[in-house]
Amino acid sequence: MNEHMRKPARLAMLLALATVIHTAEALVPVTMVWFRFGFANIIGLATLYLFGFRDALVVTLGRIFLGSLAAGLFGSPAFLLSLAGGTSAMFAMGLAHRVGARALSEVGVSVAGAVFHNVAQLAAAYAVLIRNDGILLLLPLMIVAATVTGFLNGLAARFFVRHFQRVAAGR
Amino acid sequence: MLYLFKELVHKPIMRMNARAFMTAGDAVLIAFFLTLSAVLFFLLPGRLVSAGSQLVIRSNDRVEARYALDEDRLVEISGPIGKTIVRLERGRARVESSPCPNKICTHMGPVGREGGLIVCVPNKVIVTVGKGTPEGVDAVSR
Repeated sequence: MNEHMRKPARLAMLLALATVIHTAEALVPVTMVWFRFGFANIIGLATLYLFGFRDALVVTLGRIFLGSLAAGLFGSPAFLLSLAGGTSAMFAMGLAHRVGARALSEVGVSVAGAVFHNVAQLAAAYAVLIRNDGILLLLPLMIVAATVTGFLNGLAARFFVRHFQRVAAGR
Repeated sequence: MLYLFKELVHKPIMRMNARAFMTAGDAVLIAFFLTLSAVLFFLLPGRLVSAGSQLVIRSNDRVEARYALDEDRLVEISGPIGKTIVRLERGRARVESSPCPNKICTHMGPVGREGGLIVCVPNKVIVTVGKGTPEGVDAVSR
């Protein structure tokens, strides 16, 4: 493969993967699981570790746009919530990755991202959907859920990064 | 996928502990968020849901009466099967007696916080606690 086309090709593959996961997760009925695991963020986090913050942000925004188009949710409140959550999660993870590079592993960075994702989503829901103080009561619940899913996604991202690097090195 | 499986299998079970999964920094961060949510869990309800100041009593789907919660009084509401007696006392309200068979409304105890609710289905009486001044709509969906 052409040397300078390698990175765009890999990023495109990551974006495709993230979009598929995002869309598949949007199909899970809310009645079964009232929160989402945010598996798509595994790819965003892996991209952060593999290619850096800027590319990770592009992959995350790209998968939110493409994923909502695929799920037919583009422009809906659900899309706005995704956008608010995804963007702030990415910024939180970029910051955690940079500031706590030594102290935090993928798990810590993922947990920080997940918590900020949920907090931002709740704030967005409060701003555009439900202007009622009552929904802020969900905050503790959202933080706990984010910590658990963030932990799992962080481990998954670690495996993914290692696998990716091994495959990339082996060619 | 296969790699993930191999990775898990190759590692001795004893090393599959928390230490192998995360750094001390991760643990501190997770502990911080869990503590934060526990603190919020106990603090938020008290901050957000204030003590109500108005009692609304509905009978047969109709607003029967509204009372300020800060004065004590005894209210009688007649429903399809008899009289329900509601007592307002020290900013709280409870169903003192009711003609219904199961007495669920009586066993609900007192309500005083905003959003508090006692329902007696057999006698079609609903007691709710609301804000003192009506503020128009509850929510707007856009």
